[in-house]
Amino acid sequence: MTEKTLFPQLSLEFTAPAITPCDVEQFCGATQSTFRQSIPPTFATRFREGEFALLRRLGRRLASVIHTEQVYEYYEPLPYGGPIDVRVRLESARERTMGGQKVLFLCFDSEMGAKGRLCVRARTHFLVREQPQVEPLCKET
Amino acid sequence: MDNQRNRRSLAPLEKAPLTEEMLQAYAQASGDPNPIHLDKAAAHAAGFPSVLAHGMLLMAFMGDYLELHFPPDQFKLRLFKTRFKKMTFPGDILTVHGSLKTEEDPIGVSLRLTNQKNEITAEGDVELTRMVADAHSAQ
Repeated sequence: MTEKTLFPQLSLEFTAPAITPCDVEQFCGATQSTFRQSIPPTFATRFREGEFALLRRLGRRLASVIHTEQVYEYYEPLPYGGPIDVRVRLESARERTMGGQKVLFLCFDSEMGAKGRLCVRARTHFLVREQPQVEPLCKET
Repeated sequence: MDNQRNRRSLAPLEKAPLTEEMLQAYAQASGDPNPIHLDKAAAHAAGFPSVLAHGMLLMAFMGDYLELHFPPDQFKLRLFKTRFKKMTFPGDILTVHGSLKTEEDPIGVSLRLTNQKNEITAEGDVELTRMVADAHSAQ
């Protein structure tokens, strides 16, 4: 097994619309969860569009991506009613050759906050099984 | 020292069997557009026998289990980690199991999600703290 470390230095910031009780109720219905008014622990997955955008910048198709691990650290409750500020960056990218096939291991680090306060920090680990389908917008350094 | 054999088990929670409709509803609610969860042709092209469940849907099941045993008005979640171990498909029946690693603050919980064959599909670790009751509350 050979490993190569890549540092594309990718990051993205955006503002997501306010969370509404309807959003949370829809999420609870879709996850067979009891609607408890409080925002469910994994609701922050709704703010992962930045990760999908960075995957596109890397030239990777979503269908080639496997989600292997997810970590959430909670600081303040995500609020209803206000915009959510999201920052996401590619924390690490490692390419390994395993059994003659190149596999890419990615870790995205995201922070979600409101009114200047950090609410949730997320780490998303992906395994990508194929080569880029389009020329990546970023280059290896 | 943490002794796995002495960990207190929490009552398990069985979820309704997964369906393709659930995956579509979850994709809508979560904003995850990955076609391997929604489109059979895309799933087959990616080497899977069928559309597969989102890992985050499995984590949501574990999150619901957490809130059942540790109501959010009494406990504050600090950390929630999940490792996705095995693909899950429509027709699978998932059950969440939990056990206490530590009962003192921060409370440590181990989670396990199994399918109908008792195979582990996901594992999780959680840290929570007890919320201090308001001294002026009616309780």
